[in-house]
Amino acid sequence: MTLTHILIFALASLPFMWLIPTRWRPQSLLFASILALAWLLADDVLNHLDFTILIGTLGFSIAVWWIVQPPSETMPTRRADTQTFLIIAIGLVLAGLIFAVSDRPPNFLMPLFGVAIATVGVLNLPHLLPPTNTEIYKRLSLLFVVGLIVVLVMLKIPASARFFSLALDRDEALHPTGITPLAWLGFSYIAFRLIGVLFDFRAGRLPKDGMALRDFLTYILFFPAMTAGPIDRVQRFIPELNQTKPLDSARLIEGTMRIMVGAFKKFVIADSLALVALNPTLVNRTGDTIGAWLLLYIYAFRIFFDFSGYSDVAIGIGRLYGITLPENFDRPYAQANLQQFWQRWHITLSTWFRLYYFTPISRVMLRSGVKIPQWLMVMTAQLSTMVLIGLWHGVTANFILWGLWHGIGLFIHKLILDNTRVWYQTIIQHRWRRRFIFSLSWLTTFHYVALGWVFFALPTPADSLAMLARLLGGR
Amino acid sequence: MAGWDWLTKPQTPYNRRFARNVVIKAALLFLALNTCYALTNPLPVLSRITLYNEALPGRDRLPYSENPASDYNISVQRLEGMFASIKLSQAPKADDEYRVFFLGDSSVWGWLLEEDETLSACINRGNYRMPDGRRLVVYNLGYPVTNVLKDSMLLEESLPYQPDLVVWFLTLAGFYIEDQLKHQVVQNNADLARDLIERYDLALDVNRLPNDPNLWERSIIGQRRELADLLRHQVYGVAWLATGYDHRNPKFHEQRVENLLPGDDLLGNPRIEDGWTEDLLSFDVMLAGMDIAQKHDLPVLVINEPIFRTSGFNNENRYNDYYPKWAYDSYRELLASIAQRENWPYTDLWDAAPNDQFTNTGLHLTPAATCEFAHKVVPYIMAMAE
Repeated sequence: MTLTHILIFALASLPFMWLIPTRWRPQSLLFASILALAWLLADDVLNHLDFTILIGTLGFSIAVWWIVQPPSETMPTRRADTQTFLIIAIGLVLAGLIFAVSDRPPNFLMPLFGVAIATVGVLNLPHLLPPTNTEIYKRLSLLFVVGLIVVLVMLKIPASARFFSLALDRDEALHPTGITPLAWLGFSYIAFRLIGVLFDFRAGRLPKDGMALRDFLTYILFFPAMTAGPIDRVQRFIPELNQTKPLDSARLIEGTMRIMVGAFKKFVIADSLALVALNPTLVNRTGDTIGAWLLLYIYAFRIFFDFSGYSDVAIGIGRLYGITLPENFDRPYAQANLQQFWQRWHITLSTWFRLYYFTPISRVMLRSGVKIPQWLMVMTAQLSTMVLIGLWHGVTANFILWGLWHGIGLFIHKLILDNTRVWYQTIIQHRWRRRFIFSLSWLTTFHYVALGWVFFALPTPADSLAMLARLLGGR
Repeated sequence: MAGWDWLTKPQTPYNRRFARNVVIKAALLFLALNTCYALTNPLPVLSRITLYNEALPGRDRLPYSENPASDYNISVQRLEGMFASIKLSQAPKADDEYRVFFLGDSSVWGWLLEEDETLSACINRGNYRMPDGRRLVVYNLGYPVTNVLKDSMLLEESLPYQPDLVVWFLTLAGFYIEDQLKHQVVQNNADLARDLIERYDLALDVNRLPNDPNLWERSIIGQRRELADLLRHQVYGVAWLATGYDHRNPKFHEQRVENLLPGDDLLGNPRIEDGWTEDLLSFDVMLAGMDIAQKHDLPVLVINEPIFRTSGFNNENRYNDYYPKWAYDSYRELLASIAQRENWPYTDLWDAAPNDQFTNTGLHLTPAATCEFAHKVVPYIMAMAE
């Protein structure tokens, strides 16, 4: 999202909330999300692929919605869903008209084709599969989880992303400086929302009376949270969508202030720090240890202000449209241990992994019957969770190392915690000792996290090791 | 969430009146700040406020960049800001210092050279002592590209820094009349340029300089680019501190042109049969610069800098892709005669660098040749003090 996007999204909330009656807002929000997504995509993806990706996103979402619906007798009426398809069709055609430019003429064929296939498919799906056979749907849900992960991995591996870019880009000549890697806008977030819904479906955690297609698609495509989250949960989002709060003075001020604070964090602080934050070129140019630490500190704050700034903007825009999105950052660098850091850094992502991976995998190990030492179980669960969080950012060796770094850190923290609990109870009685321990813990935690950013910021293990060597006094 | 309590849990609840007041106050404050800024025109003063030489080390050469992201450098627009960020502004002149300013184009600034490979850096590394025992300390005030008006403006701006000598490196391209007002330093400091032109009645059309900015252009909004550049210049200082880099020096770059196109035109203009005369080049601008120095009892050593002389195709007509022989030879004769007439200390070192040591143009030298040339200049500096 650029400042122009943010400004337009924020200003559009005023007529949206003041002119559109409450009962029409969910439909209107889906319509707005389709237009917003088309606009965001128009700047980002390879030629001719903007609508393909938009329809791909819609297609995945509709298919998942269909899988997780309860048996047909409790399904929402077909009329409501037909209305949703009409919204999609009008939205796509309008997007084709609005975002057409001279080198990208209005593209109606693709949107209409997509809508037609989806409409015919979904409206006839109950005839294709027996709706009461839940076992089929559970198997299908697993298949979709695997499919979404495969697509996610393909987009996250630099080599395969480039391969797809080359294969899909029919106008290579338009890229004189080389092929841009294919960017499926927000797919990391879309995929995680969809996978979360599929897991919830398998665990029986979805609303018993199902979800309207309109509400489900709005949850997946909600435009403020498209580019950088947060990853909301469908059980929380849909009730709120159907009871959007009016845009009163309090919401207007809170939303606007939140956007302004977020934009300042992202576009002033983070973008300024980005000019001199740690990057592969700087690593090779940095000659001394103090300089190397300086670049690392700058990177640590740059990534925080960048990410939390985007989250603030998303939360602020959401608030203007009557939706309260979950918080994503809560002073993570002020925490005194790594566990607290991860409870306050990218909160919705770490919550997602705790809910859908860490807890289930720990439960599986506990119930497996195999006698595994507790420390090994904890270590396995923590390491694998953190490696997966690393891989979510990109399938490269360095993101794996970053995940391992944090996994090891969390495991060591757990060991220390288990072995110092009694001692700590005696310490906290004394104010100054408690403060000293807190300061020491904070300092250690911050520097452990900062050192981890070396793997995150640099592309290869060799670069990271060179940087670590410099940080420790080497040349 | 506790971090946002200040926003979500106000002491008095937000209402429509509060929102209206916030908007009105913000608009008034915005208007007042911009008006005050426009009326006081604080940019020259703000340009002097810098972290360089305080929290950050001063730069070795004037800030200039064509690619800020990889140079960790930026072309600061105001002369005041340029001077504030270099080491020259760091400390008062020491009693045992013989302070020399090098003035010139990109070959003096050090294009494709690290900051410790420039002419000035080479001489400073030599730890030279003047005949009276003072340390010879050279400051690099070179700035791309060739332009004597820009040089004269820099010379005038440098006077408060107490130079003992200015060495002015020149080449023909710096004298083209039609290019004088195009230089970015001239354009961005039009008030100073206009003053110089009018004071010395130079043969340059002041109407081609940007007009005095109107109220809107002088406001914070109107000067947001200049202000952003000043801030970015401070931020890049951190990378300068960490790396010591101020100019990306690529491993591979375009090589100087050896084989030249046929003909003996000068930038598409036909040969002037009788060669240059004083009025066809901006010698009046140079005379103004020399006069400014003279009024401050500041000696100036004038040096015609080395150029590449090709032995490739069409070498009978041209020295390089910049200069046809007729134009360059005639310029050298004219410069020598004016220097003699005005009694300037003048040295013609046009062929003082080996031909195989020029890098991407007919003016830029390799680090080794730059240092070799620098040491050739030192005796002339010493002679100025005797």
